[in-house]
Amino acid sequence: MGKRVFSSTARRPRAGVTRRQFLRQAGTSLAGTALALHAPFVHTAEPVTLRVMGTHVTLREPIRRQAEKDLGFHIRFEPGGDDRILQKASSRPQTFDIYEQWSNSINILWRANAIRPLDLERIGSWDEVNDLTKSGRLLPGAKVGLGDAPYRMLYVQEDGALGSRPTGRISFLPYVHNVDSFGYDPRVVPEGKAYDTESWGWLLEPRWAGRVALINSPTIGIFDAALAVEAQGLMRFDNLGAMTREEVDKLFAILIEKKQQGHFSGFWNSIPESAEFLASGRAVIASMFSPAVADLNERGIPAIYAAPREGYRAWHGVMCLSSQTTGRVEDAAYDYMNWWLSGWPGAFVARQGYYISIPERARPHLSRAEWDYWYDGKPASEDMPGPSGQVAVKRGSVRNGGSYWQRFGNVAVWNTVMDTYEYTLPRWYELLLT
Amino acid sequence: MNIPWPMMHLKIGGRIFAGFGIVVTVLAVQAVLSHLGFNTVVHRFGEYQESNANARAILEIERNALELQRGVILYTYSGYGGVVQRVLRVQRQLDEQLTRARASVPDDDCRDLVRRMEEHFRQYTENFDVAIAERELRDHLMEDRLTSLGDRIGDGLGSILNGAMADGDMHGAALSGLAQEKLLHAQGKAMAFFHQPDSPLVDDVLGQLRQMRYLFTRMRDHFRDNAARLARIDGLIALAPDYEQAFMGMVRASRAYMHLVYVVMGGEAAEFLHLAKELKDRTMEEQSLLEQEIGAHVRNSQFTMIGISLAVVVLSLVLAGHITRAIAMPIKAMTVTLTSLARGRMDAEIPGKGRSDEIGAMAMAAHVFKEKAHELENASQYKSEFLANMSHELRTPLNSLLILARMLANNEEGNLTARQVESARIVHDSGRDLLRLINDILDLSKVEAGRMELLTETRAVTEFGHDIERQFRHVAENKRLGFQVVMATDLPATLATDWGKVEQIVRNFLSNAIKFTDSGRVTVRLARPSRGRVFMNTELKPAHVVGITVEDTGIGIPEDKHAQIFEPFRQVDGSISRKYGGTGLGLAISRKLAELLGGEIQVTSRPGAGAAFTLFLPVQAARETEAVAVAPSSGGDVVAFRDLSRVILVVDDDPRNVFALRQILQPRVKAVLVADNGREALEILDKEETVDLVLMDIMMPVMDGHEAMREIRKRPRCSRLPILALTAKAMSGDRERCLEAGASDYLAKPVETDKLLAALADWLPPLPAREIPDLPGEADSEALSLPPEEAQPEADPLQAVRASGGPLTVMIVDDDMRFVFSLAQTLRRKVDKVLMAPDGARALALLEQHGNGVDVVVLDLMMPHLDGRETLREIRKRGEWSGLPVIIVSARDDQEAREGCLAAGADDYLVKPVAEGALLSRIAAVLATAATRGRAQS
Repeated sequence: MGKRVFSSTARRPRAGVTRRQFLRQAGTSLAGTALALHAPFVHTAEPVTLRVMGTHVTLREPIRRQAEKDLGFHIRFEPGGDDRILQKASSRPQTFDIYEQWSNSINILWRANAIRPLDLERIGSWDEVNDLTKSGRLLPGAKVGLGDAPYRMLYVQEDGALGSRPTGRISFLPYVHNVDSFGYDPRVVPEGKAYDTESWGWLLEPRWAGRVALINSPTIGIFDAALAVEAQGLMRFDNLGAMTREEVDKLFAILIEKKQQGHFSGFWNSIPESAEFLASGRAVIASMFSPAVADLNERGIPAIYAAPREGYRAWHGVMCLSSQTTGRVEDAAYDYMNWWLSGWPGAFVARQGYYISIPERARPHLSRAEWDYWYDGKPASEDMPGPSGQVAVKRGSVRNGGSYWQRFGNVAVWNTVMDTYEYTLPRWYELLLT
Repeated sequence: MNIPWPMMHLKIGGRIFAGFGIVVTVLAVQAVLSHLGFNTVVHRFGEYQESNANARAILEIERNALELQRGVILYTYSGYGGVVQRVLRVQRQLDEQLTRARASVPDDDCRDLVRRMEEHFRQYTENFDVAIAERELRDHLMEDRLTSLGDRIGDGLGSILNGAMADGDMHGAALSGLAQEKLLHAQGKAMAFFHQPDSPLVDDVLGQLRQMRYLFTRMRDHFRDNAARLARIDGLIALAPDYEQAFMGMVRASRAYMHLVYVVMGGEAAEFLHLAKELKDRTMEEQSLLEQEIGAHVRNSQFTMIGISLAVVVLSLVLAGHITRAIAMPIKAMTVTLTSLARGRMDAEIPGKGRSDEIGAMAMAAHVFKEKAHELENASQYKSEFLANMSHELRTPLNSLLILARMLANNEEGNLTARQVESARIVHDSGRDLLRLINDILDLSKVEAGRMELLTETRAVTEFGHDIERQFRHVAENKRLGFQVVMATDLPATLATDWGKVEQIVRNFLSNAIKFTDSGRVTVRLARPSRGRVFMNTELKPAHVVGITVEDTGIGIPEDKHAQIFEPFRQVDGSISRKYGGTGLGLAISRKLAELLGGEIQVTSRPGAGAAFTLFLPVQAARETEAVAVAPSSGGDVVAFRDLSRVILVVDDDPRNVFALRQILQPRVKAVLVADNGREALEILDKEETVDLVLMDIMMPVMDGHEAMREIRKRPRCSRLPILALTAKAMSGDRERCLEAGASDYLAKPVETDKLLAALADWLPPLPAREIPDLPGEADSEALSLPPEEAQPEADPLQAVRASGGPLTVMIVDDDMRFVFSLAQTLRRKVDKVLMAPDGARALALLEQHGNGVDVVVLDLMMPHLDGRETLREIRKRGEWSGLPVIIVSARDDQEAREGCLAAGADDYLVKPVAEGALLSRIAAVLATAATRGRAQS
């Protein structure tokens, strides 16, 4: 079915004029490939509108404007909370064209037939995509991490299952990724040392009782909580990335007791919400995504993104194609996906603290100082702007956790939908409303 | 009093107004503060109620949110459609409640919370709609699609199995049976997932389905020859993906549904409840703040009210203190001062001078009053002095008038007719009345001029009562009136006062009482006043006062005349004086004397119901009066007692006593005669008619003092002779016995010089006539020593002098020729020659003319050209006249004039009017002294 789709779209006429901007950005080496790709809407009277559903992490207005400018078609962003959009996407694939979320949602989407495989031949710079998603390691000997490492479900196997054996089709386009941990307010929580004193265990420190927040997502928050419980020595898991029902029961027993003691001040649903938790003082320590920390720093609110000694919870952004999208919109979707790996967006997300699967394409769009800071983990040699252009990094500051490679060498677990997923849901509900 | 107080500049009214104004203002402030405080509390309470309503609304929202959750969970587990209706109803309620809450919450923060709650609520409701759809989809896929697909596959497999069995194709049947088994397994697992979603079940189902599809391919191979079956198997192969897709759809819908309910809606609900809790906390906090505020406000108000109340109390006390100190006390002091001024105490200090308020004005007025009173007093004194002088000037002509009238009336030469004698007697009587009046005026003037002196002595009060009774009983009885002296038992034993003045007053009362009472009785009461008695003189206190009351049953005095009767020259009715006689000065003098004694007179009377006059005398204050007023004058009098015209008879058997008395008396009197006992005294008295006073010892041989006095009193000539009893028996009752025996007074032995001289001064005043007690019953005392009608013609005192020398020449120097003439008439019968001169110059000329022929000069002080004093000085300048006896005769009756003249060289000093006898004896005395001096010189 994928091939058929590919074939039908590949034969569509191309449009060079509207690609100019894109071509300039993509570089001459890519020009052939790009031209080989499609630009489907030249002959159409009706303008194409690409509907992108995803999270606030990547669905940002500057990106949308830049993409429209570069690609020449309308793009409509529909950002939302992780689980809200996941359920919407998985149940109603006709409501989106591109779905951007995390690797842990792939299984759900895939099994729900909400998405369909991507044809590698239409991903021009696939060869440049680094090894993190292809082999699971950026550097030889690095820790792969527990749970659903993205490489394990990248390729669409012949039997329709997802696996690590390379095929011509992939379930998602790897693009943005990062390691997550927790953020804390150093005005209240004493500043720790990366990979040394900073620990997931802090989330369950009685000292911060009543000022701790978690993300409202069983597929993510459960790992933060599990890492914290393990760090505190309250329990051990055989395989933290694949908990048994008993382990789930024990974990929630601990968490619910903590909740009842008033340890948790809330469960956030979106990145702005998580930033607001720290900004308002509702929380002084919370499981967090790095843009929220960058946002806080930009606003002048001190927040540190921890480098826990137990390792990070890693995530990988996945860009999927709706199983219902076809024709010119499908072409636009491929254009959009290729644009994402072309450099500018990578540089943009770098300023949010994220990494892109082809760093070298982003590098020309970053200053030397930015590259050194964001990717190499060196001290900032000058004041640097955040994604909105405001100074977010002060000269001399150092990114907690070191370089891209060091960080991804310290992954404890990947965001994962475990077999006990359904089993955890009522427990999670109980935790929420206890 | 001189505290710097801004209100000192205000008038009293202003100050009191300001003071109360301040208090009222403070109270008004209190009232306003209470009102404001109350308003604030009411306002806050309103806010509190509003906040309370908000809190209730939020609790209701919270309750409904939980209700909603319960409904959703119930639906999750039951899938019962009725629950959905209930959930939707609760949703509508919540929606309304949130809308209301947003309008009613107090601030923007709370409104923002409500807005966020609404946002989460909206997400929640939207998700619930989706959840219902997902559940329905799941149910649909499971119950309809998956079941029918399964049935169709199962049916297909069944018919193939049956066909194979019928054909005896065991292998085909086995394949079909196995596929059927896989389908049943898959269906079972799918059903298990439907009821209890679990990821491994999905893989199980998918695995079974994969195996079933593999079996389908085997069956296709096996039945490739049977076209009908092949077609049927192809149908099954086509159905298998549909079945798988339906199953995955069911799985997805289940997961989506669960994820929605457990995670998404759970998260929204958790956040919703968190926000509701925050809102509730805020509202509660606000409520608590309001409660605290209200509490604090009430407490503050209470403290303020208590504080102000205390301030009002303190302020009132301060004001009361200030009013007392700055107003009441000065007014009291002013009252004391004004009372003192009213009572003539001109030295009274006036308080409050320099103040600018009413008290200051009062002080100025009092000052003016004081000055006026002072002027008035001075004027009164000048008037009194003038009156005193005038009285003497009146007496001088009266003197000659009386003497000549007496001479005429005596008709010594026998050449007058009876009518002429009668006329002369009338002239004499009229003159005597006139003299009495003048004496009264003189007394009054003396008191008013402050020249009346007090002689204080301590005397038993009862004794005074007895004296009065003895003196007046017969007078009253003569008029057929009852008479009684009543003495209370609680009277003080003794009283120190000027008893002579007291007697004068009481005599006056009694004479009036007897005069104005035609029938009934006269009662004298000596008693302490009742406790409630009020006195004009504020120094009198009922506990320290003795009252002497004279009551009668006479005509009485109208109430409105009570004050008037004490005024000089006024009587109740002009006709009264005509009917009853008298000068009308008695009570005026009595009142003045009473004031002088520190007491006062009160009268109660009604017309026809008699009258009661009471003299109140101070008991304690007497000593002070004695010390201040009496001591100097009595001391002066005593020390100055010297009357060289007096002859005193000392009757005592003890030669030492006699010697002592002689030592005292000899330099002061003309002669001291001595008798060993009573009998000898009688003999001397019979021989020597010139004896002026007798000092009588009681215990003596031959005849004791009592008997001697009784004998003396038997002699008419000696009935008034002052006899002073001397006794060592200073026992009570002695005095009474002495007085009964006829003593005039009583002196305790050993006799002190001062007391003796004081007694002599009392009984032998310079005006001999004054010493003789007035006749009982006489309203007014008679000062002039007129020879009593019944008195015997006196012996000629000059006889002794004449016997020792030649012819006697007397020179009379006076500008009042009536006096000169009348005196000359008298003297011519006693001396050889009388020279007359109208002034000093003529007198000196006459002396010059007669050389040493003049034996004695009677010199008037006040004369034209050369007055008596100048004349005396001129006489004493001449050596040959230095021993010439000069007797000064003057209308001035004062010590100063007397001493001045004696110092200037006068030998004696007589006050006009001069009695003939007295003048003769003085002349005799000075001549005797001159003779003695002359012998001593020669």
